[in-house]
Amino acid sequence: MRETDLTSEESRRFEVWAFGGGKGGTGKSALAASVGFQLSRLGKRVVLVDADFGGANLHTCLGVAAPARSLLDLVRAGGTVADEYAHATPYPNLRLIGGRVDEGAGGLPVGWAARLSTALRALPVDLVVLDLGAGVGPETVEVMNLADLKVMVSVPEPSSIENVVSLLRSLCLQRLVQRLPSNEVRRRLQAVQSGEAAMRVRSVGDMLREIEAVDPSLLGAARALIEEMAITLVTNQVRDDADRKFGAQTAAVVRRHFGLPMSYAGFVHHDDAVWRTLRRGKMFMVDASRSRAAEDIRRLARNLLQRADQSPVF
Amino acid sequence: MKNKTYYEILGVASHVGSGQIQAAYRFARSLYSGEATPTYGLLTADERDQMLALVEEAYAALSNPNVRRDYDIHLAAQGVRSHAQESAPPHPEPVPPERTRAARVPPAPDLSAAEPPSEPARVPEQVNGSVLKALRESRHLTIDQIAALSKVGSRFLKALEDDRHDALPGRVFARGFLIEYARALRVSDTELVERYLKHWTGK
Ligand SMILES: Nc1ncnc2c1ncn2[C@@H]1O[C@H](COP(=O)(O)OP(=O)(O)O)[C@@H](O)[C@H]1O
Ligand SMILES: [Mg+2]
Repeated sequence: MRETDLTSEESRRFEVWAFGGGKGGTGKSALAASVGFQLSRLGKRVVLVDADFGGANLHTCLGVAAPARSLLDLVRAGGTVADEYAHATPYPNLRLIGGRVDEGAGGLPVGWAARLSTALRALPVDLVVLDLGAGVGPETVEVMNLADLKVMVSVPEPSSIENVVSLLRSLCLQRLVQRLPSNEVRRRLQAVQSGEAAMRVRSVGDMLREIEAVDPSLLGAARALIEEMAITLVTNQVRDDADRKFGAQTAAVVRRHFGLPMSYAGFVHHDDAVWRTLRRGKMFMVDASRSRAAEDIRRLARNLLQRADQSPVF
Repeated sequence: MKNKTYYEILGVASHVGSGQIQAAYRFARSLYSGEATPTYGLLTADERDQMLALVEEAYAALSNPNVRRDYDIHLAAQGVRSHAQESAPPHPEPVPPERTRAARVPPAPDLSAAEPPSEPARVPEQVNGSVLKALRESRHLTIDQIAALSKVGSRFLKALEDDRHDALPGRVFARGFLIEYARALRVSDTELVERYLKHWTGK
């Protein structure tokens, strides 16, 4: 596979991707940075965005200092022009809207998410890659819902996939609450989001039943809102054969038992090169470009770009 | 998994061959047998056991050609959508205990003494193009899917369905096409051929 052979369609398309997954330390930042970097090498103009409010570290994954102006500065200013917040990196085609470690997301201005979406979509680039924080807080879910492609990063452990499913559940509920035109449905789903009804509503099927109980005429719209989400899973820190099977199995279980559309984009091996280079303030894609992880990232970036589903087909 | 067909339980489309049924079975079994990491986080031990039993039941039925044929006739008779629709909500959630077996449609054919297929799925007494089309649509198959299954060109299949007998290369060929079409639909080929050709007007 040549590094320069993006099809014209692939290089022209503008998209916003978000890397999330609920749990901390799974490699969301490492993968967002390296996939973004790889696509910039393939000729796409990329802006990486650190949306981990309170835990920003995307700049360290790139080996650069925390930028003077952060994403939260943009959001707090209520601006819709993001270009001046996108700082150059040592790499061509790759810029960074960073975060500061000391800042938290508390008290964002009303309507911030819609303005942020406008700002990001007005950037004169081809791809915006958002790196999200851990947890299923409303800001994290809101930012993830802005993305055209939602990349769930999981390590092959039960607790990690539980976090992914819990994030997916919040994503769906928030999307339905925000987009369905009925106050009554909204109230019912909001009660489910936290309250005691939470246990009753696990899957998309459960959510649809809640909606049906209030207003069956909204079922079709609700289904469409869920189906149109592009969600894909990446397994990080893979060590053995069982780990290699984890992604396809997880995506199948999520589809079959939770009714969520989820494809499987591929895996990245656990590789000491990742943290060794990071410790020296370098990026493994550059300073360990022959490493197994770097090879995996090149394959993964390609799969994500082509929306290639690695799930088995029967 | 109430209302799930055997095909949906295995995660396959309803027209696949036996090799794919087997591969899907192996994959499904690996999901619930307790070796797979994701199911630990997402399903309870009870749910896994329930699913495993369902997967075995589905495979026992679909891996036996006779049972599978009867089962398909059941599906068609009940107008059940038999394509696996993994990504289309609403979706069954983890199997509710008890309800499962009784609530799933259609009832599983008995392996030992397969009942005769219910009437509506038999080849009707009168068969013309519209009847062919209705049979096909009751299985949620497109002309192109029949073409892929039967290896008969879709324009000939279309001609059969439109009763444009002159657009077909002749009676002998039509006969061959109809046999293939019947097999793709999993109905009796002799009955379908005989009844359709009764009204033959072409060369
Ligand atoms: N594939 C990998 N192999 C080895 N170490 C990794 C890999 N991916 C991430 N790491 C390391 O794991 C730690 C957490 O990664 P990070 O990207 O910060 O996670 P997150 O953003 O999900 O909290 C970092 O030290 C990182 O270098
Ligand atoms: Mg991070």
